[in-house]
Amino acid sequence: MENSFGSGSKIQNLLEQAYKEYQSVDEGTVASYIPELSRANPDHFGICVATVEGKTFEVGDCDQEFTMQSISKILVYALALSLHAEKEVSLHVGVEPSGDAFNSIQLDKKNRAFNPMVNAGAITTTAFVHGATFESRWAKILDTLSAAAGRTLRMDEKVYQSESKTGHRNRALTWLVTNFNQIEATNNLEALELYFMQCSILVTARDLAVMGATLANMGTNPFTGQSVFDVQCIQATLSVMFTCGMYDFAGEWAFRVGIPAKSGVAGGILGVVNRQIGIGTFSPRIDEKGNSSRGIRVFQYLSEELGLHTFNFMNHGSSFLSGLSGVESKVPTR
Amino acid sequence: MLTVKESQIGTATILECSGRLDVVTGPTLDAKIPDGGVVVLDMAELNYVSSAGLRSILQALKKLQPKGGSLRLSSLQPDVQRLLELSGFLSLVKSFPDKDSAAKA
Repeated sequence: MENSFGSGSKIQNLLEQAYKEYQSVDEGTVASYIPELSRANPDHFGICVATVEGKTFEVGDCDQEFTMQSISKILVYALALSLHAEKEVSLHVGVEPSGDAFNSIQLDKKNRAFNPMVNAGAITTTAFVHGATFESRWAKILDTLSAAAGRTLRMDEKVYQSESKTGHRNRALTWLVTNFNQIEATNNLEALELYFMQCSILVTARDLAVMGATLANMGTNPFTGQSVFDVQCIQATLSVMFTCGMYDFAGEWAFRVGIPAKSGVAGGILGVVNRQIGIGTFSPRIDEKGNSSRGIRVFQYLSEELGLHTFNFMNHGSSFLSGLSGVESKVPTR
Repeated sequence: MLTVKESQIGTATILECSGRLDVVTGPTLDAKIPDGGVVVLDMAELNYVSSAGLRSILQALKKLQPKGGSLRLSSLQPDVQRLLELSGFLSLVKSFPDKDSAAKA
């Protein structure tokens, strides 16, 4: 059936073009702060696009699993906002880009983490996933992320153990936000372990694309029809991705790519074009800011070619406004 | 890959584009746009235009119109025609079945 993406062959061609173009990029190095990550094959490369109409296009290693790392932060933030009022969550974690690295020890003037994408903010956010037991809290996170991906996900036990054993800085950050009552002391170490575990969830580039399509599709997985996130939280989630999703490269990313996205140090990037597509890329070589070198290039290419930047001249703005007042968007000629 | 072949029909400059008009090839077209006059982009052999390619067309339009020039398109392939329709471009730029009718309009 003809949909808004036509036969889709052009999107497929474009992905293949991007793959070919950037396959030889070998800038950056595989993350090595834990031994398990350094064992990744640096040449793995996968690109997948999933549409809100439930169609996927992919090229390369889209079945290769890797750990989500920081990409989990955005999905758990969406989960926290689905479980709690945004105002309540925002009392404890801000939404201001910090310009600092992900493991920044700085808090804002209200003694909150600057945003949910720095580690201190992500741990605070995870603490919002309540439950009677540790296991039930973990199940809530894993089940939600699985529902967003449309398949049952699992955790890489070795990566988790390694993260937990060596994560002293994160432990310090947890106690820091606990000191300022952003997390209860009775809950904080559980939240920290859950955070290490969520970072160790294994996904593929295809999973990232489907998760992105779930966010793009107002919180409902377009492949399974399952409602995963509250529709109310999507705007907030995408806003945080847009301003804080790419570590301290977020401003440059917004400028050059203009798509809400979240990266992880294992080499994944999840992007969302609201109401249209999710994009997942995987290439383990990361730059000094922690973002996948090939991934950045692929996103920039797709953004240019498909006009995906939020402020691209092809973007027609609010369709609601057009319907309401007859204010049609026009392409200016002067 | 984009090749742009330049010719004249009367006073109109004809730019026959073949290949792809995208982020890589856009600058090739940009460089060929004259400062004024009637310019026809003949797209009989152009089989792909991306969003970045549309930006090149828009740039050409913005370059020509303030100086009293005009930009016309001809011989659009069905896929390119559909893209230009959906993006609202055909309300800005006139499209003709062939380069001769575009040049003489």
